[in-house]
Amino acid sequence: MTGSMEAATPPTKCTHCHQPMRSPVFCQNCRVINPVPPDTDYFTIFGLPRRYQLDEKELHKRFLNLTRDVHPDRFATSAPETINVTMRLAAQVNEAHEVLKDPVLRAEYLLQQAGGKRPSEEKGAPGGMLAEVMELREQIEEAVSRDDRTALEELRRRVNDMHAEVQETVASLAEAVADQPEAEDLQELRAYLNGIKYVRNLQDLLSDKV
Amino acid sequence: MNRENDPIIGIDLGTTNSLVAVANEAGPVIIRRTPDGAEDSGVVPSFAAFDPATGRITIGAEARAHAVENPLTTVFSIKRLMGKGFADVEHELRFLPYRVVRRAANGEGRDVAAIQINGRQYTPPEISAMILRDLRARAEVHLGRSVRRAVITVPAYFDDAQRQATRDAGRIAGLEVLRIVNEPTAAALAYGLDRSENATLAVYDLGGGTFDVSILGCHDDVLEVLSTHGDTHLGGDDFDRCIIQLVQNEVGRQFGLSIDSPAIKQQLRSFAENVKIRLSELGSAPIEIDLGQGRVYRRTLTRDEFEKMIAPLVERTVDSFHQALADASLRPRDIDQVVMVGGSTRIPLVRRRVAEVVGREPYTALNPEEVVALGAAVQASILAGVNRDMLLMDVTPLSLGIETLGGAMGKLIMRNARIPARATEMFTTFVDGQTNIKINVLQGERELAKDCRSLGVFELKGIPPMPAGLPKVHVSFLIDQNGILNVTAREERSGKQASVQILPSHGLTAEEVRRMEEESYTFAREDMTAHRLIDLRNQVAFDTHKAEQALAKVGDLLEPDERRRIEDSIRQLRRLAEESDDAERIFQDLDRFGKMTVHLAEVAITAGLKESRTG
Repeated sequence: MTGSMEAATPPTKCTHCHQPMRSPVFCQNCRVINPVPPDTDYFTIFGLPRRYQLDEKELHKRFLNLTRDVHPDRFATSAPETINVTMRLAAQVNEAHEVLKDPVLRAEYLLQQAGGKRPSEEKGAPGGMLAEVMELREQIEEAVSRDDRTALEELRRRVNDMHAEVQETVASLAEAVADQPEAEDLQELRAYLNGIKYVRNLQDLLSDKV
Repeated sequence: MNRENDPIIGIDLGTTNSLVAVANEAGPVIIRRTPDGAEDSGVVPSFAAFDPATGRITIGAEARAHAVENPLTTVFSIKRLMGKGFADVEHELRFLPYRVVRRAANGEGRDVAAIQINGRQYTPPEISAMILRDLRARAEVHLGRSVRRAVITVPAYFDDAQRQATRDAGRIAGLEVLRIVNEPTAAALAYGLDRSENATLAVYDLGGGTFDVSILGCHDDVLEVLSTHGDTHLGGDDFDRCIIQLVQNEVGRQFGLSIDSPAIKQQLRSFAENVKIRLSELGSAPIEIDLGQGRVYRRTLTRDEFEKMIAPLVERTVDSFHQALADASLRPRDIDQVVMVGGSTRIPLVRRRVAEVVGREPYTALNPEEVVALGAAVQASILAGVNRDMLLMDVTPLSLGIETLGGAMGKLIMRNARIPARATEMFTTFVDGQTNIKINVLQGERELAKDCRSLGVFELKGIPPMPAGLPKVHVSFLIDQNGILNVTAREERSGKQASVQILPSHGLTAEEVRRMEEESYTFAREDMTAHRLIDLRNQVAFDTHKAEQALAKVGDLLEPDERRRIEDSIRQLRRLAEESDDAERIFQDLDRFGKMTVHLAEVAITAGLKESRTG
């Protein structure tokens, strides 16, 4: 699912009418579909700059616009090959949207694109985080067994604060990685992305118990 | 014939009732005509009855009327068996008077439920095809032309095997299923016709045998499904069963009788359904059953009692609702409107609970029994290109994955992913010279493969022999817009396309479907003739009209004799098409007419060319 860095850059001008295109997959001008390589950069598909910071509303707007034009239902009575092309293209657009709209998946994508390690290759979390998570987990379980609502509320606040903090760090590291990846940033981002999963598990635990 | 102008019908193939609708520029309408041309409500009970003496097959209300008399040869609720194995449905067989068996002549590891009637086995898609054929005939009578293409709805929570089974049923009925659409989404489309602003919508769909809830975002012309949840084995049938069980238990206790003969089961079923419906209007309903020999079972069932019995079932739908909201990252108060779909949403407890969940009254402007078929027709008009102001974006209800080493479920596509959705995975060999790889493809949310549903074993064949671990087989999984999985594979080193052979766990192979389609043609020869007649009559109208046009334009360029002969033939051919039911004769005369007008057509074309050059 990773796009390789050397993937051919898709045209920014339509191959048919040679007008500039907002997205490489569909020309608004001559209304022609341009299939792109299956590993085309997700940001490129939406004509967005390759940055972590992203206007989610704008992404969704572009996603809807693109889908309006390439969805296979628009080609239901076309030749089977055309339906096939649009089906694959729509799947590609959906995948790009699914990843970019989620801050964690987006950071993970930028990390992979910059040659960072996968979660299966490097499992470590930032120093001290694991101990803190384990302590919180114990406190949550204890509060649940005592049915201590006030303590649980306080714990929920602490976990949410921790989540917000980690997310902020992920954001600034991902921005750095998107811009000019340094080996150190890659490693740190990997660690924080592993770490945020632990915090999210705590959140799930709290929502199950309360 | 011109494929572009061929109509596309919308079909709601329900557990208890089915409907067919068609849309034009003015919007969708339910077809309320029987195959014989009589007017009716358009609601076709999903029943197929086989006459024990003659073997004649009837569908709909007529079939339902046979149910008590011939319980063993009257099939209903077939939707519950679609895409299922015998093992899946064993627990509910005591509610079904007809005989369900494990299908004979299956491949290794496969398990398909079938129905045994008069010494023959029918798979659920074959039975569904009989209902579809009836709906198709209704549409043909209504439209006055043959119908070959359809949109068919399924519960949103249907898995791949159930969707495939539905598409197979269409194929067996001679229909090209252009699209499988989720029922709640179809309902939203029907409502979308009078939608005015961007809103977040929930569709609560409780039908005869299935339950779905979908959360949708409306953005002007795009209807975007955000999440869906449900239960493919929960519906009005189950509410009836609560009443049946109550009666069976009490009769057992009071009279020491066990009432489970097929005829009584069938009688109890329609009886329980009536009681349920009455309890939606009234606070209580009397029950009286004559057990013979002066024994009469009597009691009054109050709405309170009924609600207590069905409450656990209704709560399951509420849990699903909350899950769907959580999956869409929304809170109940974010929902602007709840649309109720399916006959079971008439039950007061259901309405009350849904209103409590979202804190507002549910919306029921359209007939909850017709709205799905209407939506299917709208989707058909979108596909036909008639309706270009609307688009539907749906999701897959279940995660898709593969069995990994150690029996775990390795997820590739998450539930609620927008469809079409894709994923790729790399496979290699474990033995030197290995040329095929088997993959167990799964659907479900559980951690272990054995707790998920196996779609079947996909066998990758034709891998070039290489040392173990060297081949790199890229397998692409694509869930299409119908929610149906397509798998392709390519070996990277050789660039060779590997073939993928699928042995569906609970479905039919392509070959089996093709054979059933052929068999159904033999069964439905009369149907075929009727179709052929409609087609031929259309062709006669078209060809004679074209000839007339050509005559008007270039008739004076022909010999007077030739012209007269063509004019006579036009009249004769039209009269024949109108009066005769002999398809073969119409075909032959039409053929002769075609040959006779070849010269006329040439003259017309040449004249046309000259005109375009000079003009």
